[in-house]
Amino acid sequence: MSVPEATLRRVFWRCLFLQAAWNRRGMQNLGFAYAIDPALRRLYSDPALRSAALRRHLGAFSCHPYTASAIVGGAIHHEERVAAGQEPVAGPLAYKQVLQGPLAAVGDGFFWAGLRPFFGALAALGTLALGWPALVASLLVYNVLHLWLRWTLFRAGYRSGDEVLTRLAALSLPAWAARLRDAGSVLCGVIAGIGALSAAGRIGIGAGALLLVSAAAGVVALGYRARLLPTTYAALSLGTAVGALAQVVRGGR
Amino acid sequence: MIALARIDERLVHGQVLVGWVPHLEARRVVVADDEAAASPLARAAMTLALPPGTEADVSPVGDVDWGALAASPQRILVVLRSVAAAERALAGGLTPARTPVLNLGNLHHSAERRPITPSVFLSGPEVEGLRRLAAAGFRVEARAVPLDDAVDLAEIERRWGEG
Repeated sequence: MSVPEATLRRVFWRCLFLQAAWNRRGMQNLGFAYAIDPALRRLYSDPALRSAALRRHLGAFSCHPYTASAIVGGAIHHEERVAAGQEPVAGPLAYKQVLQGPLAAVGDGFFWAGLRPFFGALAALGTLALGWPALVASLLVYNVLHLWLRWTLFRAGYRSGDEVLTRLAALSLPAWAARLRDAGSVLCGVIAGIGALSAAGRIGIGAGALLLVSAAAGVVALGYRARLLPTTYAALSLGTAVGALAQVVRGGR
Repeated sequence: MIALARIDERLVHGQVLVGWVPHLEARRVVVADDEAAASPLARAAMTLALPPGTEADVSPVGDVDWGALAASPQRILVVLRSVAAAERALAGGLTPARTPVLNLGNLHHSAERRPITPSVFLSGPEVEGLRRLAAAGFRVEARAVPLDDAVDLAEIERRWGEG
């Protein structure tokens, strides 16, 4: 038998809470079991079989929370085959085991290091140029896009099982991740430029130059593999301190 | 050259491709694992995850020509699944002269393991194995991602004793 459409939607909804019970021993294991549970209830009417099925999905699991939806979908695909006696109970577990690492890499690279920073930079630039509606619009587009991708991956996993990799390969997410990273860097450069021009216009040419020097020092430090957050704060406070000092010196004259 | 050898049950994942590969400027990832090498699904999944400009090989531990990797002009990241696999690799030629640091990434919780770091749990025999690898000349460190602080073997042993 196959899992009804309404149950699949319910499982997808529960996938959004994959990390809600994150723990050091099993990581996303409770979230995974919670997400797949409605499907297992449909597939196994015998309480003993249902309990055994839920237990096997309580094993350690860790993936990127977005790309993991492909694995939840694929695990249901395999559980349908287990319930029909077409494959051993180890099938869904092997599927989870093999895909969790590589799909975590795809998700980290595309969503965390590509799409999200890009939309963050877009929101910052949009807000500088057009005001707060641009911020709301950026958040909206990012969320529609990522939820659509999560749903697409979930469906692809459920429909095609192991073939989900072919579908995923067609999206070429690692290549898009590289493009988004480059585009995000360009946006950040434009933001720094706008900031410098605006500071120069409002306070004076020195303020604009100072802002550019602070930003450039931060970029150079990052190039030498400085840590991101301390570097950002150091560059910001350095710029502010020198700016304040300049103000005092000028005011004292 | 072999830039780093890493022990990680999850093999190729985000920490490896987004964290270590850019940090080490590695152009090639060699996954030395019998189980993954035998699974077409695992091989396809790992290839799919690679960023542009990075290559990957998946081979059984016993089939890797460590001398050739060490002599290669490319910077290579080696990933092994377990401490036992690292010992087999050492016997096969993955020597400290070819790669001085042995990194522990993710070894998950199980009944016989004790917690060392948030991502590394070790059993008694595994700590023994790490002692032998350190005695052979490796600098053993537990460190999930490049920005984490490295936990050395002495500290690993101390935490294991407490756990």
